[in-house]
Amino acid sequence: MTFNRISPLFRFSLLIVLSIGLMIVDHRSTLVQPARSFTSVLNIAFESVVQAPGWAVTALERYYPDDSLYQELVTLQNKQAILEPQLQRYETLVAENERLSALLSSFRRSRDKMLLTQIIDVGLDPLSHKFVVNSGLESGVYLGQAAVTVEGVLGQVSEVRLRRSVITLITNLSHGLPVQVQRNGLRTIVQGSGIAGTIKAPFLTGTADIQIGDQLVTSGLGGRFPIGYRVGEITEIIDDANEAFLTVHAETTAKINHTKEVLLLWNREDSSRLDDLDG
Amino acid sequence: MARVRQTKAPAFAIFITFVLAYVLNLVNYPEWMRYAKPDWVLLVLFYWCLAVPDRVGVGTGWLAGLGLDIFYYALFGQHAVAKAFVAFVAVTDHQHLRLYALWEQCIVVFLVASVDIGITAWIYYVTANIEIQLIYWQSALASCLLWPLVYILLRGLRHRVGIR
Repeated sequence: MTFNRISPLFRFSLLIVLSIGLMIVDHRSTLVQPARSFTSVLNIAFESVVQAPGWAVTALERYYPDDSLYQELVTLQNKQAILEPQLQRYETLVAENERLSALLSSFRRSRDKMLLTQIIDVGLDPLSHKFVVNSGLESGVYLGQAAVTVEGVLGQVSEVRLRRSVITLITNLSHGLPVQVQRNGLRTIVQGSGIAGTIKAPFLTGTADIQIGDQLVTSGLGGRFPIGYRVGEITEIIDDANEAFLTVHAETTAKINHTKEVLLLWNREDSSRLDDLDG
Repeated sequence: MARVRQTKAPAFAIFITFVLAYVLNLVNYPEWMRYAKPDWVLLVLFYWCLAVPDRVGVGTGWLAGLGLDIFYYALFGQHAVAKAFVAFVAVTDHQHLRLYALWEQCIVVFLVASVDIGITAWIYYVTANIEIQLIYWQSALASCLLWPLVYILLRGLRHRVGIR
């Protein structure tokens, strides 16, 4: 053990240099990707261990269903009864819309393929503002893919492995998203604020028609997120005469804490464009 | 036969405590504890560095942190460098730290955990654009409150297994 004979200070300095080198290589290049695919195995194994108690509880609940489960079934059935007729109308509207769009020979939107996936039920580093879902390359997940929940847009895929994908939230500081105001179709871009549950719209001028409570939905521009998914609700507008733009804050509609299921959306043009880049 | 057990058992026991610490770090905590999650790996590492600095030191700390990088889907080296720092403080000052009262050790744990969080938060800020918020340091407080428990449990284990 020659390493042990070196003084701790020297060892520590050596490891700092090693860590910095490793981080730079990992951040800037794909050199450590082979190592990542190896550690993915460790990830999956360990996540199974951590999730095992939860699975046991679920299995027990299945054998001994309690009253709350029945209540939930009734509520869901009622909800389904209301949603089903609405969906039929929606289908007709979609068909009509597609026909009219074809008549106008305008941009025709293909119906989105989607995949329901689960958030891995482990507590990652709370600082990292990201989470992991249990679908990956095997299911055809691609980098930059849009991730939404029943409540709204969550984020996009920032790392794909064989059976796992990492999703970066729209609240991340470096994330931008083209949106429109549902009330009047006003288009703008929202950016992450770096704070959980909050986004901001930094490019709105004082004359913009915007109010507190306005719903923001994706505008479909940029081609990464399909049109019409809920993003957030305006909670705060500050009009400072000294600033060129308004300070607009919005609360995201997708609540990460309550979410277990995530929908990954295929945007055909986007994925084919990415394929072209690869090929 | 007895000698083999003496040399292998302690290392194995230490390894198991780290595995348990990983599990406790990765389980989901209630929502109000999102940022007040104690860093069990840090506590276990700190204990072993004080108790057996010849066995567990900067290198072990670095490896323990690398494990966290893997399980947290973080950059390789990010938690590793933070945990190497924790081990470095504990190993270089273990003779003083051992003599401290438990509450004094708690304060040291708080300071060390704070620097640990500072390092990782800063790396997140530089590489992933994540804002540094004061709320992150709740975790250091949680770790420091749990130090007496970890200390007593691991000391019990150490005496039982005979790790020297």
